[in-house]
Amino acid sequence: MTEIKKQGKYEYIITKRGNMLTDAVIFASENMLRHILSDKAHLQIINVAALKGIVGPAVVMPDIHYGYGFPIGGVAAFSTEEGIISPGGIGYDINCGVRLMRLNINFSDISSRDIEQFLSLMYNKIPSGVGGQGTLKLGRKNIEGVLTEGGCWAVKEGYGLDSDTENTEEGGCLEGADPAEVSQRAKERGLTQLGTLGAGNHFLEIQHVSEIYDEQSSSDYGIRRGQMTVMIHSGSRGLGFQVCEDYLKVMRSASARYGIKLQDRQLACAPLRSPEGNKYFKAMQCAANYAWANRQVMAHRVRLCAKAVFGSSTSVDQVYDVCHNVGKIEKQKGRELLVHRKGATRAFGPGRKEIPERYRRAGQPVIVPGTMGTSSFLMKGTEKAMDMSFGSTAHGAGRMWSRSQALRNLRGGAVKKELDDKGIFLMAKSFKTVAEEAPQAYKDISEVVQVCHGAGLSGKVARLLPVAVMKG
Amino acid sequence: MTEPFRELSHTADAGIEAFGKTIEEAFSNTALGMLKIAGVAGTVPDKEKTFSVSAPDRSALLIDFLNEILFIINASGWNPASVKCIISGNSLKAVLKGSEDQSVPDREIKAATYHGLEVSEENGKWKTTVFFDL
Repeated sequence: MTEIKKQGKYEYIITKRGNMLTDAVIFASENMLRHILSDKAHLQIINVAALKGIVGPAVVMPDIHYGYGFPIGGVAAFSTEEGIISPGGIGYDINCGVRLMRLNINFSDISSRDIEQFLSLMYNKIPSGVGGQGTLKLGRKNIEGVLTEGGCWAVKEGYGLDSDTENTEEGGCLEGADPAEVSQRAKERGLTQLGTLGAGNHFLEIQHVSEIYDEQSSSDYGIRRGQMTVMIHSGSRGLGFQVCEDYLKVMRSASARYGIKLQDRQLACAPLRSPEGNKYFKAMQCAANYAWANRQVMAHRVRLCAKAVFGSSTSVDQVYDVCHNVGKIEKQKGRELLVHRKGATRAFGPGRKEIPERYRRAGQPVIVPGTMGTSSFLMKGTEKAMDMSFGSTAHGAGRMWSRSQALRNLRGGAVKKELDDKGIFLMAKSFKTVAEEAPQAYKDISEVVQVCHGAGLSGKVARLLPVAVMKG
Repeated sequence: MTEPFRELSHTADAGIEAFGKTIEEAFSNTALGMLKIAGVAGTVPDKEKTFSVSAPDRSALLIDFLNEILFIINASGWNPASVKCIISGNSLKAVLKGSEDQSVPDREIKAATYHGLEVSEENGKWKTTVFFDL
């Protein structure tokens, strides 16, 4: 039986024991902790705490759920000199992330017909669903540009504005990316999927700002009550999956070669400073850049669709874009650390130079998507997060039901009707996905956000209510 | 008669436990279980596709075998209706029968993972356990 001690209203600790090299800290409410323990997700963070070179505690966010290897909602920082890098600690969908854009239109000024027309147009222009081939066909030469320059490549090619990448984590591009470390197969998979949403929990949503909790920060973010927003949740598609798979193969032999003992083979890893670790890091950065280019192309199309429906004077400005499956070298607590975030969002506090100047007073915008029937939140990074969670917070509601449980309990048609009754217009490729992604299958987003806010990991800025949802 | 495979529940994802009188049968049944999770409609098996994989051990071989099939489904739009394999040491040769068609799987399986992975034999009965990232 794992001993877990409460050390704050929303903070629990599993002190170092057995193979653990450090403590594990869980941010949760009492109610959530019960679910986390029954889900056994805490056992996965104990395994993470045993990985070589870990610095500070292994941390989990309130939206944690059982994953494979790392739990989903886990943050672990490693020494860049002695520590490891683990593809499983970043995930298959490298730089899966969320983008929020604001429109200069009030919800009260448009009709439900306008909203349906806007969503239908985006549904036609932005491919979604399993496989999901895009209309943008990359040449072999262009793929190198995408992998090296990320969102900046897309803007340079005419897909968006400079202000889009300025308001993106890392400016939409990780600079150490090296396409030579990405397999031919991964590149092939990337040729036809740029600008596509994907399936599963990915979505595109039209929302309106229903509540403001922090007037000054929301004003810094250009957000006001009643305003329309669009949120995109997607990642690096097949290219990212392939990079992860390719390097898990490399790491499964490398782990043994470097004498790394694993509690779970999905945690396969190598020292960051080893040839294997270094190659994966460069390839992973390429996949992260692909994801930013992917969301950038979609954002450009959202902008064109908004202008087509609401008129050419419509502005669609990017609030921010965050990634929640990534490994990055960050300067934290006076030293360089390799921070793995798997299902966790960077939440840097005020004054950090990594944040665009216009947001430095408020702190980094943090986008926490909810479910299609509830709400999403715009939050802000905090100084406290820098101390407690390596500048990280939750990434969403977090699953509570398995997909099969959701399918047993719900039907896609009934979920659509429930959304209709709430005034939320839904377009989806698969009704099965709709049932699996139903609001009931997830934790209560308000509770997740409350824990983050209460623990000080991120501060509530605004609440966003869905009015139309597009699913794969 | 033992069922060829059964689905295992997982909070975010899905798993398969498969059985067989031989390791080849257990591997093929794991693949069929995976196709069921993906919702791949078994189309007319009018064409054949073969591939070979090698890995350091049997369980890694199972992962490489399943991920190769996922690649074929996701990247080439080819839908297998039947899967057979021959294993020799830590190498595997697979024969898929199916065809290219326009039908799209219900679910996008990102990969077969190493988490909770098991390949075992007891009294001449083989069993596999695999979890998939969806």
